[in-house]
Amino acid sequence: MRGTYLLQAVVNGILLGGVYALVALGLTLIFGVMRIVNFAHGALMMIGMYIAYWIFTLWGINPYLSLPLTMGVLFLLGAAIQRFLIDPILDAPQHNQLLLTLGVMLFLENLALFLWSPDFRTLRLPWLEGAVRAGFFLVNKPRLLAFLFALLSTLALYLFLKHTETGKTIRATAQDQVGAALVGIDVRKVNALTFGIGSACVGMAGALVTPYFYTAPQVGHVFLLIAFVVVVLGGLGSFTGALVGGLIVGVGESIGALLLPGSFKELVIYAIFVLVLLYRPTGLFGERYE
Amino acid sequence: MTLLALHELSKSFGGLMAVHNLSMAIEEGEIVGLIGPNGAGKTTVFNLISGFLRPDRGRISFQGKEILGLPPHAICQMGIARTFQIVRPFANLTVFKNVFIGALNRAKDKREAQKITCESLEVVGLKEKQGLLARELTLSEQRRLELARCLATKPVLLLLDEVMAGLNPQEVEEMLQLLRTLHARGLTFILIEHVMQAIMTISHRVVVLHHGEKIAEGPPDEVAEDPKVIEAYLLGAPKGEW
Amino acid sequence: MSEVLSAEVKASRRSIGVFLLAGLALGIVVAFPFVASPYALRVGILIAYYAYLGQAWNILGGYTGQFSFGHAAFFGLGAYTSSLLFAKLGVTPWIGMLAGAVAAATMGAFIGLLCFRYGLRGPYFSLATLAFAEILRVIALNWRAVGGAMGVLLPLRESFWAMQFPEGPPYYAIIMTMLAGITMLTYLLEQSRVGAYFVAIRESEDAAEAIGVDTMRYKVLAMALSSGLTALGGTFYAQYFSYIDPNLAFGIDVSVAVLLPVIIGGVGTLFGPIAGSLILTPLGEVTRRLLGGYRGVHLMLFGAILVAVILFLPHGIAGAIQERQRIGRRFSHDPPRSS
Repeated sequence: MRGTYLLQAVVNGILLGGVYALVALGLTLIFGVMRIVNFAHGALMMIGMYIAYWIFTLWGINPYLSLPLTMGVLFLLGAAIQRFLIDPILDAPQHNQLLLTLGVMLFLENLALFLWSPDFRTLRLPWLEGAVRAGFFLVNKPRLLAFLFALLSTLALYLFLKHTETGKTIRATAQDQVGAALVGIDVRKVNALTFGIGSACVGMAGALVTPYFYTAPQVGHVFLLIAFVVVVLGGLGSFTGALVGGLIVGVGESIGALLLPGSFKELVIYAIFVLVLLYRPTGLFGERYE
Repeated sequence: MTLLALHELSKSFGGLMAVHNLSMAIEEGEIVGLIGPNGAGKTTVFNLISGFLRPDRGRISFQGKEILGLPPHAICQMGIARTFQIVRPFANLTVFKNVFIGALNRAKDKREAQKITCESLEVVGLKEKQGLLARELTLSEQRRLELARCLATKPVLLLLDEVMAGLNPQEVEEMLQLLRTLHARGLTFILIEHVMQAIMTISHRVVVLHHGEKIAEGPPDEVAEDPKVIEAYLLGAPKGEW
Repeated sequence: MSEVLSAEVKASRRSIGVFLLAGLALGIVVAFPFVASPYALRVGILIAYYAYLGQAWNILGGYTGQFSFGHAAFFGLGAYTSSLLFAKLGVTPWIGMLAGAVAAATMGAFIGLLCFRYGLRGPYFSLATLAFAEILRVIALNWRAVGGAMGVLLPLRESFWAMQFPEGPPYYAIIMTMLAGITMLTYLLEQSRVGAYFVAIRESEDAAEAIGVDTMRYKVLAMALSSGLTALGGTFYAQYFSYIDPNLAFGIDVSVAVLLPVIIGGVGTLFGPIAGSLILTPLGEVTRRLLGGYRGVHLMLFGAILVAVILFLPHGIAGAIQERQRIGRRFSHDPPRSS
């Protein structure tokens, strides 16, 4: 019996991990290209959640159908942040960039608080309630959908980066900003594009969790910290790392919740975080970065 | 008397041999040039001596004492000072304060540190600029500042990593003059340099590194004729500075 | 000759000006509690309180260049230590305060040793400190003995011994003394060997190490000092508001509040944190009062100000003023300052 619980926890963890991976992908993409640790990432996710929530509440369009709109808005928001706020200080000391994104986070979170109050909001999709049985396991439907969407978009992003001309440009810029500029790449455009894509990823993740997670102004904190853990675990800037790291953290959290009382499961995550930072700050898949 | 002795030093980075089985001795009062094509391992040797890197094998002794494994600040306190290939001034501090912090290494009190600072700035000719921020100096001045900061720690041995790179001929001449002055005061030098003309005039002895190994050693004019050295440079250096 | 003379006259005029200004400021600070309304006094207390926390962070972040994003860890440790000692054992917060500072300094030194031993720099150090603060928050949240999610409510016992007072002035006196003390300490640090090593580490760790500075030792020292002083602020908070819980003590908001005035006012400057708090705190209070129905407006404003300062005044207000003075001095042929 105990074993079944454990397996069930692993399955839940994997589903959770898929979403974490999507959140972390956005973060790691932005870091990979611009070397910026984006503190506003969680706030962007929160914005994505509210967009999905309001579209559903006002017009009854479910978060899956409204995904293109959510992602579009987040893309523009992200690109604008990069273009108008971060671009001017790309050469400044790294902590200034960190602080700037912290300012953006403060602004967005409290804008949400101002506009929509601190209430926890949830959205109900009757047709999605309950779970499907797959062999021995019960799989929660919205979580399964979120996982599948996350997996698909991760794959799409991977193919985009690997095989399209634009994707190759982004990877070249990630390798070397100066070199990319020398061979005629419009680095500022690529930076804005990257920040936009990263934001669209996290906005999508936000929309996907709304059917089973609460929406609130500070909800981003939870995901921001987890995304940091995932990204550091996988290696800042590594695509594969974000994916594997997301799954590890998801499963770790899920098993931690099974074995430990209260919110001690978070302790497991942070402990992993600190250990990885200390022993292998480049992560499992990261390259040396100074 | 032997001041510094390297004994069979080796250091590799991920399988790449940066320094291989290097032994050399520096006598008190010598000026030794460390030369070799790009990537020969010269800066790695400095990093090993100054404690920024730990060798995989070998021993280093200074004034008869083993210094291997000591952190850089302890090595500095023993009397070895170094400059960096890419200058690292304390950019947002004044020229005076840059040197003053170096002077604190040995000075007992503030007044003594101030005295040492003034002397060091005088020697390198930055006295007039002491109120400026380090980042406001030209490259040539920043190199002299770094030298002054080293001098303020009252070293016995100075490791100078390309202090003449990027300087114009007149500035090179001034730097050479400065080094001669310091040598006359009893300092010992190891120089890494790409400006061959300069290093060949000032060095008593040169050591040639190639792929981390010592391939020649001796007085400058002899080494310059050594076929092994010529070959290494022809193959390794696109610059053709010879 | 006349040039030198005029420079001297100018310098002496300037020092007279500074003297007068300092006297005026001191007068205002001393007279304030006697004339201020209770609300104004509260704002005054908060200004000094945030300036104090900013000064504590500034020693590590501003002077030594190690950007901690987890000072809530030390703040919370101070608040919890004194509050628990008082609530459970009846130990006076005056002693609890010191106990908290010692605990936080030890913790800070430990975290510093760990992080620096493994060479964490820049954003990695920031993330690691953030993680430590979160770890403490989760522990406080789940540990019944320290109140769990309910936190600690201080027993009401108004007396000097309990560091609880019916009115504002004593709190004002305490926090002003703390602020004066930490500002004096920072001033002395600026003049000292240790302070010189701190800024050297900030400017270039390798260069500092190369000229004989034991960078590890001084980074850990800065960490311990800054942590211990932050903890004192934590105790003050607990005493003033009589209540703490895991989020108020260890939350990310605290870590942000600690560094905000420093960034706005000027990182690594003596008066930066005070200037920053003088601007931010009243601004926050006024918007909260005018737009009380809308939560978060003042923090929204803070976020926008933070972004604007980073973009247009990267050295903060005090930093910009210093730079102007310095350039002014250069062109007025003043003798260069000797340190």
